[in-house]
Amino acid sequence: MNAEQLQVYVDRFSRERVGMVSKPETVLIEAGAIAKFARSLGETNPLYFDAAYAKTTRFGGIIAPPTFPSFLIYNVMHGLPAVVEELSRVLHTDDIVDHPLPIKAGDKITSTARYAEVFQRQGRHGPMLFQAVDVTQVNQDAQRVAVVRMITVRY
Amino acid sequence: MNRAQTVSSISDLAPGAQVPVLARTITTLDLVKYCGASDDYAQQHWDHLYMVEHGFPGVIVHGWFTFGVMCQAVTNWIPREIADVSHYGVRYHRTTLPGELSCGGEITEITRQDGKARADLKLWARDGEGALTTTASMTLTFA
Repeated sequence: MNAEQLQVYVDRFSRERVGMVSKPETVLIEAGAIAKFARSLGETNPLYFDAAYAKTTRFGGIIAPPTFPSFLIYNVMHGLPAVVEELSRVLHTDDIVDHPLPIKAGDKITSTARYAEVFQRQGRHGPMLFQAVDVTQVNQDAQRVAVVRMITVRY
Repeated sequence: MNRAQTVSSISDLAPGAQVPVLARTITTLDLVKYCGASDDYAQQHWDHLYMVEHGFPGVIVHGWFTFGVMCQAVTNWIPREIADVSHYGVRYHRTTLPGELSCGGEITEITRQDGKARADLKLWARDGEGALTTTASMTLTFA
């Protein structure tokens, strides 16, 4: 697809998709889910596994690894349109994350995704279509724990 | 765990201090485990035929997995017990195939503001061929 053809999609998605918001999804963060996530990454810090140890730290209990906000975004992101039939190759290019508070075992986190931006840029494989989604995550006390901007490219 | 290189206070740190390099192997089994543990079932990470049909040599490592290992390189050195990973920006420059991965970086700046000490870092990850696959910036906020 050339730049002009791709721009037709950019213009259409700017009108139709930017600003769309997913249904919020609330997940109770279980200690077992944190331990499984941490183990799959090769983490060894007992903060992620050992409640007795974690209780002695400033957190007062088990916390999740810094990339745990990603655990909660797959489902809500799929509540937004992203597919472009003619561009079948998809890659993930950027994650930009504000993470003011650690996520703790026992938290109830509500995630909402918003289709934030669409643009094109010339890449290794010609003109490529970029889409940015912002996922906001709030805990049971209405505190914002993370805002994740995830950018993907299609070509 | 090996805590030999662990920092116990921000006063042990200065711009230019190097993150101890963390090197490991990522297998396709690790990817499947990460799919389950992270609830991320994007086909790129487990469906070999799908990837071949789309012009790739095979399944690729989740960007979030690579960055999760980059975070570990930092938090094994400056533990979560003393600092929060309060911000990060990650760029995936090229796809990472299962195999060797090494991660490192350095402290670029230390600031003290409103009674909070922060350290900014620049991080990198390289694949088994030595190619730079991923770069990131990170801010640690000290307790």
